[in-house]
Amino acid sequence: MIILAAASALAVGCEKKAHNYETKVTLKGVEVVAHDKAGTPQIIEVNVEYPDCPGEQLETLQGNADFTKCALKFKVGDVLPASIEWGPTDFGHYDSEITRIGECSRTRDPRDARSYEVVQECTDVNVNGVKAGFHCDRKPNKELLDKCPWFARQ
Amino acid sequence: MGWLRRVQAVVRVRTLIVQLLSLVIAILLGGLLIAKRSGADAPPPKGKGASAAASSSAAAAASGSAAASSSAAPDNGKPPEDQMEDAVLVGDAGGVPIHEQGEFRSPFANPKWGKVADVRVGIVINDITNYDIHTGSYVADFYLSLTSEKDMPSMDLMFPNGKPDEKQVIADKPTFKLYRFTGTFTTPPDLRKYPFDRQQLTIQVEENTEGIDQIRLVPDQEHTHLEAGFEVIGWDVVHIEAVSIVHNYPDRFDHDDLYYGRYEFRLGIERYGTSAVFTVYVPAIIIVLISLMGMWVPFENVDVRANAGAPMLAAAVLFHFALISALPAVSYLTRADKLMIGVYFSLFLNMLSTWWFFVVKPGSIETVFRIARTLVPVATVILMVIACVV
Repeated sequence: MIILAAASALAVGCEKKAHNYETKVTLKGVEVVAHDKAGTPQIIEVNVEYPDCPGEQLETLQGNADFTKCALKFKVGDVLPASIEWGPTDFGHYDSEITRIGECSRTRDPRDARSYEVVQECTDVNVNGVKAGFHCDRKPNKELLDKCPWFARQ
Repeated sequence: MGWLRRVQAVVRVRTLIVQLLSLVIAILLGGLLIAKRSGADAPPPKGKGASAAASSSAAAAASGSAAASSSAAPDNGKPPEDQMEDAVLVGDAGGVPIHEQGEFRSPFANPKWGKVADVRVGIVINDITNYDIHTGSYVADFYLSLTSEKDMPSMDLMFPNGKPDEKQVIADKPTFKLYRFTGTFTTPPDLRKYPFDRQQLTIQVEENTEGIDQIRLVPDQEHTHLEAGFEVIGWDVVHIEAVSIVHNYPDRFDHDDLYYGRYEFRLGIERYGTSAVFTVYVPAIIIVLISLMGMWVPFENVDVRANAGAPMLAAAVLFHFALISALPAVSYLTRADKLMIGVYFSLFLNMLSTWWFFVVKPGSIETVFRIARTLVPVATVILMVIACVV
């Protein structure tokens, strides 16, 4: 019981603390997806990739009116500095959020279900030496986590 | 020393009763476990296609259809879609109309089709629910897109490892088709590493009548995704995979020599590690720890010592039974089974150390107590480590 209590205390105590990271992102898509009645853009959707991270990471994110107003000047192909906030979630795992791209600050609405990311590393599947398809690992590998630790989810 | 012998006799009887009761419960529950295990069969077949897999030859789609594309008919104009139209009855065909031209004799071959259509298959999985590890079944909701530079024949898709409950045709053009399917699919679970198991949920798609002389299914990586927010409750997504294979069925009729393309989407999922540890390993280790506490109880309280160990055997069998009830019958040992075997051996050692008191002279009891107190915990740790890592 003592061992178990100690182990549980250790497990709880070992939870990693939130951390902020700085990196670069490449804009792969910029699209206004909602306007107000006057036609002013209200919500912009931005697709970004991480040029400094190994593998394929595509993140889709939306922002509020302030972020949208600021992000209208973005162009596909721009490489911009980005700030990332990483930390534990209420569901027992970890998650990251882009909080700034270039000069544009972003606060994610917790009810925003559209923002998500795809982290994967793909290889060909060969059968008898001939390409038959592809295989994409969806769990971040060590190489990725060493270079881009904000992709850790556990 | 006479009083000691009388005490020994009394506690021997009491201890024996407790241990016998525990053993009876353990044997009864163990019998149930064995009965459950004896029902284990080979993994169920994967449906129509997989039942034929014993004689099927899987190969990369590209290799299989290269020869098929050498059909003689020109590619201009609309090629005939009814394969049976040109099939003829000949003497040795056993009543089955066959094609005398082209590579395949099968009535479903189409030697006049011309160049094989490369059909890119994309899939977006919206949702996978109701995953039942007992049956390996799950409900999948997904979009399936078929795109080809050349006109495709009228497609009649079937799912060898499942059955669509709903089919919605969103687009049906000669070079582009988009469907939304909801259906129940089955993949046999692999539980060798349970509770750290990783499962692969598969959706197999096959054209019902058009063989590799007309279409070649090619996985479309750019259009294979999981919908935003996709998750399988209780499981972590570890990979996605899509492959195209060609295979033939065991002869269903004479000259059934046509190969068919099959597309397979595979979703790899694994059980959350923390959940596995706390639901399987922690209870098992607690059972062993409680039984080990008896090692520090001297002979004067031998009934207390026995009660720390023997009832734990019943608890262990009951726990094992509960674990197995959550799984289908399998013909191999899971990691949880191996862990429980370690627990059984540890408890057996524990009980053995108590019985040891009754077969030695009274003067040696203290020595037995000291030896057991040292040896049993050490042996238990070794056993449990082996059980955890094997």
